[in-house]
Amino acid sequence: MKQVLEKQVKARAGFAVALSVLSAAAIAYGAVHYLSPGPQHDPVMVLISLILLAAALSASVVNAVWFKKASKRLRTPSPNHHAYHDALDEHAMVCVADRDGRITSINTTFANTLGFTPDDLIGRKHSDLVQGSRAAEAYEGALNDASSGEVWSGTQELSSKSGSRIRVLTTVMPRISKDGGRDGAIFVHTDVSAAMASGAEIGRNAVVDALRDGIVVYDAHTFKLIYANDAFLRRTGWSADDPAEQSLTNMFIETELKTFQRYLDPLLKREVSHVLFEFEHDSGPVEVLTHAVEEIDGARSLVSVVRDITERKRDEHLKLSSVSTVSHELRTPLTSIKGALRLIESGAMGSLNPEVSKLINVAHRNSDRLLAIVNDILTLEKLHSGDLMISPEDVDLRALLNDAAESNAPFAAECHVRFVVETMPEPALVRADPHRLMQVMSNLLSNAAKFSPEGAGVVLRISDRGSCWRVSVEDDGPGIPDHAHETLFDSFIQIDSPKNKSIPSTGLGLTICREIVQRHGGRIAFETEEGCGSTFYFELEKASLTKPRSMTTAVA
Amino acid sequence: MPELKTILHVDDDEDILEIAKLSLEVVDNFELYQFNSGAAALEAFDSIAPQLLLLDVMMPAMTGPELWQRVKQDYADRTVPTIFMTAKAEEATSRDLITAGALEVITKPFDPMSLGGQVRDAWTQWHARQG
Repeated sequence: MKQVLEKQVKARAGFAVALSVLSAAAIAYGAVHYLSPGPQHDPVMVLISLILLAAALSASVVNAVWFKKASKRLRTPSPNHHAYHDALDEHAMVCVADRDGRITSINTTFANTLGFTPDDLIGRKHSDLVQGSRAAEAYEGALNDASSGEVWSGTQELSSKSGSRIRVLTTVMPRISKDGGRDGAIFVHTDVSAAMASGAEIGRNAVVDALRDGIVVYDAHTFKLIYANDAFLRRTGWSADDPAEQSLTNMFIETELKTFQRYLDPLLKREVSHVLFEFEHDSGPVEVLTHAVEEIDGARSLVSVVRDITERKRDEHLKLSSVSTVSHELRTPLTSIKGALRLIESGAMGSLNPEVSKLINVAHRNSDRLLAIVNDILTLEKLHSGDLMISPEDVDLRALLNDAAESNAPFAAECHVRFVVETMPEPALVRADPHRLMQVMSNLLSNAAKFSPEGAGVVLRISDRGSCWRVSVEDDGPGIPDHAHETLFDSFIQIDSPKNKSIPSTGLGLTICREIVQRHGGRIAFETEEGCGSTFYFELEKASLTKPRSMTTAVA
Repeated sequence: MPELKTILHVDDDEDILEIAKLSLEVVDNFELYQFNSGAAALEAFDSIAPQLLLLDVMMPAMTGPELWQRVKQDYADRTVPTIFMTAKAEEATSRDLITAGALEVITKPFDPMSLGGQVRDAWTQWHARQG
């Protein structure tokens, strides 16, 4: 609107100039006519000059009045002008800087977005607010462009008072002084952080959705879904429209849910930063890696990465079943070797001189070792294939610990350590296969004895963990190095023992322990500190909390 | 209860036959008759009249359980307690054999110094059950 008015002012000004010329011409003509010597004045010419003069004067008066009004209109902003200003103020951050780049004025949005007060900013160099040296260079270039009359546009990052970075789209308009020199610039910034974050999120979601692993974020207490990627939704068959309607609890039958919660327990109790476990779900075996995320409002959510390990399990089973076949074949020759050595060693076939006896002992010990490997492989294969029988009954863990300490005492003596069973006044009942639990205890005790310094005590303890009993075996050994933590329960993983290198070790013991404990719906883990020892423990649900079961045998 | 003296042992592995012979004859003084096939054992069964059978489970041609069935069929008038030995430690197999009436299933490798004792204990328990 103002531009139209300004055009009109220009046109009127031209008209006024024409009238002035006309008036001057009329006055000049009149003057010449009256002042020139001569007897007669032509009345027609006098009339013409008077008419011209009157017309010029009246037009000038009209113009003057119009100019006055136009000037007022130009000085007074229209209601729409206020609207434009408000809209700009709402949308953009505006800052005016002088020729040195120092801020002379800012609008409210500029101050509010960056969290400063106007007093904080007036007098500061605008470039101080621009993040990064390259951004500052871009700004200098922008100011140069502005001083040369060009408009500069680009993206920059401004620092807020709190130190956070705000991504902005910037336009720099030059301000040129009357003498045509550089007179600072007007900076108009649009905050694009949210838009860019949203774009980045869309990109991230696309990547996350393309993953084969399921990713799910859910409330740590209610298990209500917050986010699930495509792979997870495909696995569960849940609708992608509104995953937040779902709860992770819907994935499980009751016993599965209990087991899942037990695995998460140390994470929920803030004992560990993450948990990694294998889980036999209805839809197939999965490996679940879970981290906890603390929200700003104090809420806690869990992020689980769910990996389908069906193929891995099948490969492991194939590998184990081949090894198992070989292992079976090894047992027959081992029977003859061990039998022969045992008969010689016993002296039943005649006495031996000490050197021969020593060599026979070496051969016998190593045939025992070979047999232990064969047996462990066979046990593991049975566990993997589900052929290993688990016959659950009520087991008092106190008796189990005493029996385990007693039956493994010869091994402890061989390692020059002792087993110390901490007493527990009340029964600690679990529903389990006592023979399999004894197998777990024997493995944990032999490891502890092997790694403990001579003369040390290995402590066997039962502790109440709410819905579970925890059985722990604590040693004063060298601890487990960080690099071995993740793979410690995997097959054929061994850590060098500082002593007793001759003691048989198959590298399968902990794998068997894990499998057995998991077949009981429990979990096994360890705590360790290098140089200070390790505590291995397993947790099983309390028998008193279980419902009566008709099942007498369970084949995993 | 009669004393256990005569044992018929069948295994296709000659070395295991030798270890068992040393164990049961030399260490424990049993009268041991050994064969490396079910057919040979079946042929000599009547003349030996063993008090107890000690049979390997996995054997070519005729397995230990098959031989056991043939003995039960051919000599239905006699009850000969039977112990099996197996290198394939399948719990289901052991359970099935015990359910079918076997005295015991001994897993290989066995300890030759205690094999005689195991056999004798099983014999005693069997007689106790017979009343």
